[in-house]
Amino acid sequence: MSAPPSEIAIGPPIAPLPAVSGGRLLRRVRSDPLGLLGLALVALVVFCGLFADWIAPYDPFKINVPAMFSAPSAAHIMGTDNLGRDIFSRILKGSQIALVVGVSSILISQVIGLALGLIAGYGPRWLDNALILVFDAVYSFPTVVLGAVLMAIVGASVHTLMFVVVVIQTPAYARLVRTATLAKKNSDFVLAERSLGAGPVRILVRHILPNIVGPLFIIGSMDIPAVITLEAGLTYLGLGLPPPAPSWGRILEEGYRFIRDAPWIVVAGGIPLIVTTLGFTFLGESLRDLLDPKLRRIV
Amino acid sequence: MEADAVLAVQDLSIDFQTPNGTVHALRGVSLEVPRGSIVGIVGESGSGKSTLALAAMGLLPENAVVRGGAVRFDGQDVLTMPPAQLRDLRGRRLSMVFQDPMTSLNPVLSIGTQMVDIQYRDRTGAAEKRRKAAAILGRVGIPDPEQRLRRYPHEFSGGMRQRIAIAMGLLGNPALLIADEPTTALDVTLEAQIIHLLRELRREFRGSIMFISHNLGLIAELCDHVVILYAGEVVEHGTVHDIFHRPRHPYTEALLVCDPARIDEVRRELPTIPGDVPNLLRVPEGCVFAPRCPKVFERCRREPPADHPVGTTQSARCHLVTA
Repeated sequence: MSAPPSEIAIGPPIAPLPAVSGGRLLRRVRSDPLGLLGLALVALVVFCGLFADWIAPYDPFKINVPAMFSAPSAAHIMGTDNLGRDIFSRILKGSQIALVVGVSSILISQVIGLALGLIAGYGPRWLDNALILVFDAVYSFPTVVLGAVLMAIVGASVHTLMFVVVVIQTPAYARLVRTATLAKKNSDFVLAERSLGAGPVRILVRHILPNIVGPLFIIGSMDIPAVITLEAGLTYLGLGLPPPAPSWGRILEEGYRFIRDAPWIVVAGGIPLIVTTLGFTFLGESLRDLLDPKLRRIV
Repeated sequence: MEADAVLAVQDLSIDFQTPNGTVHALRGVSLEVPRGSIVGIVGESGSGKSTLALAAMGLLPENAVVRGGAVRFDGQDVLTMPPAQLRDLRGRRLSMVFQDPMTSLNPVLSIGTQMVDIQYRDRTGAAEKRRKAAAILGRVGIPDPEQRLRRYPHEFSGGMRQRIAIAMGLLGNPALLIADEPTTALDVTLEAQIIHLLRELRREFRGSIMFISHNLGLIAELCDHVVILYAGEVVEHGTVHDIFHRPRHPYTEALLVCDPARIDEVRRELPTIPGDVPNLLRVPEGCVFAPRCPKVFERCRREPPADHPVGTTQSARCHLVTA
């Protein structure tokens, strides 16, 4: 918020208050070690995703049969798989898939869910009932079945996977937003704003929306690892991305078959999942505290 | 009827549709708020005070049905006005302060953001709007207002928040401010400060105030005119002097007897009005106060009394006034 200097001085100034700045936010983040760890882990995953093609020591698709099932060593720090591909390089490349599927599909479903939820919560009763019926119908559909059917009809690709996630997640967010909107719609401050001349659009956008985006954002950041895990799960079941896509789920699925001879493949495939899940969860917890003005500590 | 009334409520009847049936919340209510004056509305819980306030703002809940009558603000009927026109009046010509300052401000927006946003109709720049917001905060007694604009509602005490709510109501310099029990949620010291503030502001902004309360002491201190509401009907109205010195309706008399501030005799129990407020699902046939009235006689149970004028400024809805 920009605070223009005022010429009128009303009342004697009391003690000067600390200025609101980016530094204050940074200091707040720094005072929360778990949030900082989350931020670092997420940053690491994002970094890997962005620069995978430059930092990967090998071509993640390059088959090198003589080097198959090499245990972790200086040459292959996470070993190689059954086709001799460098697992570390495949994991780096896999973070791109994880981020595209996880982050962008969650963002898309949040935007759609937010719009539908606000309409259902603030609009007329019949529209609310109709939308709720649709949300529940879609939501009650099992994810894996939906994924299997779509993959079989349309074919497995990153886009199909994202579509499945959006279809499944949107009703969940829409219901969340609708409930929050209903609660705020009848709150005193909305009545007070209306008594001061605010119209429905102003109430929704300026007053109800800021009350909702915080929780939605936090839940979204915690859902990202769930979606990445879902992708891994579907791929593990053979419903996800087809080979040779180096998704983390595929690395796990392939590694599982050779767990007795080459246990490092499964371990290497699991590590990024754990890192991403913890990172986003810690970050989400920390964001919840930061976005709630009541929990903000005045530094 | 005075010609120059900011707000004129004429024969207003409002029902609420509830799962238990139709509640006849207001029946034939008429009152006026003369320009520049403070009118107090007194009544027990459930007497229709807040319904009256919301009707005047055009903010009745969805289950309310207007059975008849009109609410004229500056001569125009608020109840039949198109929504856009009504919205234009609110905040600019007509605003309201609510009972609980802890919930009437948006918790996630700073005070400044809220006060600038509500000036959206003005063509001035953001800096000018902030200046205006700071000036009015200073006027209602918030120290160091420019700094405080950055603060969030939870960083203020209840009394401060009610001052902020009043400041927001006054931003548009309205002709009428409706205050619905603005001090009920505050302690006595703050209550006195808010009353003092309202009295000062009336003088300065030259607006009218409709002050709703169940506290007779506050009404006597602040208001020029008093309207006594009982079970959805105006049973008596008059000037402050009329009501407090020459009450004519038995309900008003009983209220004055029960006001703890006016009791000087020490007794074990506080005086009360025996009986309960009638259930407004089934309104009594005769006078609404008959079941609890100490002076009730046979005619009261049969025939609803008319409004009988007493002098030029007072009137009471009671058979005894003519008798």
